[in-house]
Amino acid sequence: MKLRLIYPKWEKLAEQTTFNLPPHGPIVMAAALPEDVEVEFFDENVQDVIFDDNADLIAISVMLTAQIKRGWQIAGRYRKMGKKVIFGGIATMLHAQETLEHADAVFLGEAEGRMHEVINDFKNNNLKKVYNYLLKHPDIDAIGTARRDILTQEFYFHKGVQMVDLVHASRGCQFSCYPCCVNFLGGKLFRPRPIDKVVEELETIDNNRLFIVDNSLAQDTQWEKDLFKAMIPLKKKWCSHTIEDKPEVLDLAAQAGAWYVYQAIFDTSDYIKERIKKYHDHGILVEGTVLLGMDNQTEKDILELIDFLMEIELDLAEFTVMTPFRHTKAFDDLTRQGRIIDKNWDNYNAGKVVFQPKNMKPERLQELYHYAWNTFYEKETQEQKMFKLILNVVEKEIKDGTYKTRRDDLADVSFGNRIKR
Amino acid sequence: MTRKTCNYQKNFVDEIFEFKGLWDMPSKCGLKIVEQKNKTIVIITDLYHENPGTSVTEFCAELATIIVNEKQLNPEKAVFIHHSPDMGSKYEFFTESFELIKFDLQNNQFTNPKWEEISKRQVEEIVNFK
Repeated sequence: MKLRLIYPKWEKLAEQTTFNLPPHGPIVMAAALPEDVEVEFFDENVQDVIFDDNADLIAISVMLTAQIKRGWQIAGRYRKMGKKVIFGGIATMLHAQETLEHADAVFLGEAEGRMHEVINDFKNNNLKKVYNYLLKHPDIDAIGTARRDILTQEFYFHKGVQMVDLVHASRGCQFSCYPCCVNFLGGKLFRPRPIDKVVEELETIDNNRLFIVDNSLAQDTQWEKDLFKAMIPLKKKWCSHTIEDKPEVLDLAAQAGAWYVYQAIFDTSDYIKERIKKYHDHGILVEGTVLLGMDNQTEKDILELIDFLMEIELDLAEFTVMTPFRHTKAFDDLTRQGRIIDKNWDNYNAGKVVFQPKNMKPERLQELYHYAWNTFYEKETQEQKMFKLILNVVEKEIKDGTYKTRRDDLADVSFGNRIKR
Repeated sequence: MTRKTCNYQKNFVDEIFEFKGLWDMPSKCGLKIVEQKNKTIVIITDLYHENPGTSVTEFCAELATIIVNEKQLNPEKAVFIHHSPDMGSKYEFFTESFELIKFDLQNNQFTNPKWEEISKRQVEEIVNFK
């Protein structure tokens, strides 16, 4: 049986240097499929989707809200051809009711241990409209190594340099951050994977540079330390969301190959300044993730925040505007207050203002968003800062003997497309 | 707002209300019901971190219908108030707030919720504790 697995494209942040990372959700789902299912994967961000008859079942995996409408379009074309289409992934869970109108089936929840049922139902022409496993989490031990073999690796190179591979070491999140929907998706309980399973997966990845995509590794100090200890011999280099800033954790993280971390910068406090300094003191770089337009921010606050970023020597920064994703407190609050002004999900890419900010007009917030990108990268461009980031990891790799030169055969190729040099 | 100050103690409900939310997810909210002469005040409190399932805003109309049915209330007389409790954060979007909720009512089913922010003092006046 042949399953065509499709990852729809979306509009990236116009201000950010375009890069495409190998998707993680589809390859995790693929690992849960029965062995007799042949998977043909299309990442529409780097290749065209083929609309032909050469597949039995179409599966559409959507991570972002900004992908969901494109997923519905793709489904529509296949369903017109008489193909059955099933949806899964994060944005399917966030937009399940709407997606039902565009799908033969929706899968809600985590895939491990459930795909045999889905495939059997399909083979018996008995596909259910909804496979509801929300909050019914599989045994964390059941999470296997993701199926990176279904990816066309060459699509994830830019000028011969391979992008990071994605991996996860835990699910769920004990924190309830205002604009975040992870609690709805993965539950409020932190569910770390057994460390030996994570290491086993890391060993299979033919890429020295990784992105550990966990919501937050900073949820269980002992597990975090044990994970980093176990990673030291692998000599991988990695980025991740926030990690704890305790000296013993940072020491181990650095030894385990911590390259850079994403740190939310939400105010101009000494706490933020000191935290970034702690990372830097351990040789770990920092990409600030800066959310603009929260209710506690005035225009003056945003301008001061941008000035602050210039002072604290961030290595990179990513600016987004507050976006009320479904199943967040932000969405609930703004819904009750009647402040959501745009429900075109294509515009929910975190670069467009879709709500009425409390302290300014939407247009002004949009201007400040552009101003933030332009100001931060005025003296040193994104490309220059990213080059420094790459140099940093190259130096680390040369030091421990893991550096691989770029692929010369892909030197004129960027994410599958030939470029002029 | 305590039981001691309530004039309608015998008809006072104050509990953690469990319900099946979206996709049958086990969900919880705080629920206070005060029966008055011509109306029934229903205060629904969002429990955030303590609620494993669907938020009370997301499921507002369905939840109101469930409460009216389970508690055998007259839907015509029910006055619904949404309560966001203080989360002890320095950020204002985690401070306490109240909204009066108005619905359309068809065949004993609430639909189309609309929220109007009200102060705590207004809530106290509606509940008529004083």
